Amino acid sequence: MHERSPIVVSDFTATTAVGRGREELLDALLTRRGALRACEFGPPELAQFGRMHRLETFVGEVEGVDAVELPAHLAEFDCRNNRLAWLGLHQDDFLAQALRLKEQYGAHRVAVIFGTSTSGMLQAEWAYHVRAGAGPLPGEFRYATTLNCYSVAGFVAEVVGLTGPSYVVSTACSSSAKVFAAAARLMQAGVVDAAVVGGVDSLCLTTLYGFGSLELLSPAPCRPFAADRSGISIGEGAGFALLEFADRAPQALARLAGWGESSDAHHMSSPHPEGLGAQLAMRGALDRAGLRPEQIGYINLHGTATRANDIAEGRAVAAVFGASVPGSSTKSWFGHLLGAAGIAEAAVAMLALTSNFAPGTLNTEEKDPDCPNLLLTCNVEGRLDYVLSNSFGFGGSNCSLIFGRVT
Amino acid sequence: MIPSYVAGVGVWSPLLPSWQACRDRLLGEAVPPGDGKLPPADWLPATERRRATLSTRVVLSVTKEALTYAGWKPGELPTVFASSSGSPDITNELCSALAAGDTQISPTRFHNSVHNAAAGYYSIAVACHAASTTLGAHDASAATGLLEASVLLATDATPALFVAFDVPYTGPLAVIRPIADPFGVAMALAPQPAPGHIAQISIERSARDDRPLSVCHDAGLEHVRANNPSARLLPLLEAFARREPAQIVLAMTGGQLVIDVAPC
Repeated sequence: MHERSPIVVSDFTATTAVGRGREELLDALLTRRGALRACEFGPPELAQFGRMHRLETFVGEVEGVDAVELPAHLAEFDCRNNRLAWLGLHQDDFLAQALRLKEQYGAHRVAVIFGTSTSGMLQAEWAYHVRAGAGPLPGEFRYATTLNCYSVAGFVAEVVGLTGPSYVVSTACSSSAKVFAAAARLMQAGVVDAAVVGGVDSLCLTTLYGFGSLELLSPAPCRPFAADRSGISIGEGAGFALLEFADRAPQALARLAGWGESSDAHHMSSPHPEGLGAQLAMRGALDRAGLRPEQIGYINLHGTATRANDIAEGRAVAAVFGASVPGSSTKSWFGHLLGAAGIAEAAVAMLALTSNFAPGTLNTEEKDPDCPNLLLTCNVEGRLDYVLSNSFGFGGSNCSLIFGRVT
Repeated sequence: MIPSYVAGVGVWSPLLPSWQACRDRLLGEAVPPGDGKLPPADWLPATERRRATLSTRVVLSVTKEALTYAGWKPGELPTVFASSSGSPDITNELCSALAAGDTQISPTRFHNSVHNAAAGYYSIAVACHAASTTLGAHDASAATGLLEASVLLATDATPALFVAFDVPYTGPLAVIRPIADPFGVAMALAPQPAPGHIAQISIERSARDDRPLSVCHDAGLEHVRANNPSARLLPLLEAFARREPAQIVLAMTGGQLVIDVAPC
């Protein structure tokens, strides 16, 4: 293991229902403008069946995904998830910075690690619809470059022209938080010098109806940690970040100060009631960063707005931080991005750090007294030195990230 | 080069129902045909056992064997799971149901659809709260998982359990992505040598992609290797079985993974 300078985030971007790129995300947070809309999901992939999927819930659908056209040489990657990736990759001049990484370190010295939960599942749903119950899947269906979970990492590696190790971390809703830890380890071990990380997850019927069957979909825009919260709002999005060692990065927006990963070992789709795994992840991140709990200025909570998740996380946060470190869930702006939640909320946490404010949870008026953590319900201005972001997922997979101010 | 020590191995496929059977077969010895049945997933509580998919049962079989061989308790052992397609049978079931207009997705089927489902069941089975990751890199998933596990050992100075598994798609996806038989392998990896270890491995990710890839000497095993992404590790297992120094080359998504094997 190489003793190296700190790892920094030299650039990042995020595209969600609230807008494309960092500026629109920041503006939505500052003006408290959410983008959850009544669910009317009818992408062209499913249009030939003449059916609009109207569910009694609100979703964070990204505008303009269907209109994205991939260049001809990338046609085999064409699916909603990679169109969303393409859209996100072209914000904030991020692609130019990713190409700069390739020039600076060499294509094979840059890793490409992405999180996704459902990858190109909508494409498989489309192919099965076309098949109509019998026979082969349509010839236009491309498996490896759409449905296989590796698809989006392969797509980004191809777009940027990177030949370092590329893979997908797929641990449900912690996926694109864990990519930061995976990339940092590859860098510390000397396997690569830098990494493009991120996460992309897009709306599909499996997640809409799957969470519907679990009776976890909120009939109104989600209200994290509210006494009257009623479940999740599903969203979609694409987020990206560049990781480099501080001594070689020409710019730095935040320092990756620490990360903690753990398993609940409790239940496949419900959290441990005291958030035991969540506590381990947060403590692990603090230990790695060498920080005391009170040094964290803001926590971007996982805060899905289900009854069970918010209580478990609230108890876990209170167990680690007491009731003095403020936190909020920003899922009420753009929804739960599942495999892209980690990167989108890391982007929110880094914007809070660089713009000196902590966003307060949107839509939540009366906080649940059974959640003992300190919850912000309005934006608060002030300098932040360290922020922590939580991401927890099915299978009991937990990850906490800490980002530090660049001084 | 990143070194680690193999303290235990577990293997399951219908042809090779244990590391013992796999080792014998790799050494050219006659192995009685197994019954193709997985051992009962008796690590799991009854409720979870009923819900476990084929992938999960393969994972529980190989992890138990590797840990038993190593004499390790799962305790706080971090895990790295690698798979090309997780539980592909569930993907087929979900897509078939949705195409038939059935939007009442079974909650069990839904949570079993996540790529890390097997990892989740494993953590419940052994009550392990340590870090766990599940990754995918299409045909290079197993090699990538071995890289991730080795890097974890090197950076965090911890032992770890590495698992690669892939089971066949069902339905029309089986034609498009043929995976012949289930195959799972687990390796208990230690950062330091100890008596009883099987082999030392030193891995290096190389930007070159022109070295010949390692294959199996036995034609039957070569068929297994070529038709399941996780069975790409069979040449490495062959090197363990032969107890001779060897260099194994596996394909990665960019470049290759070069593994120097020395018997312990």
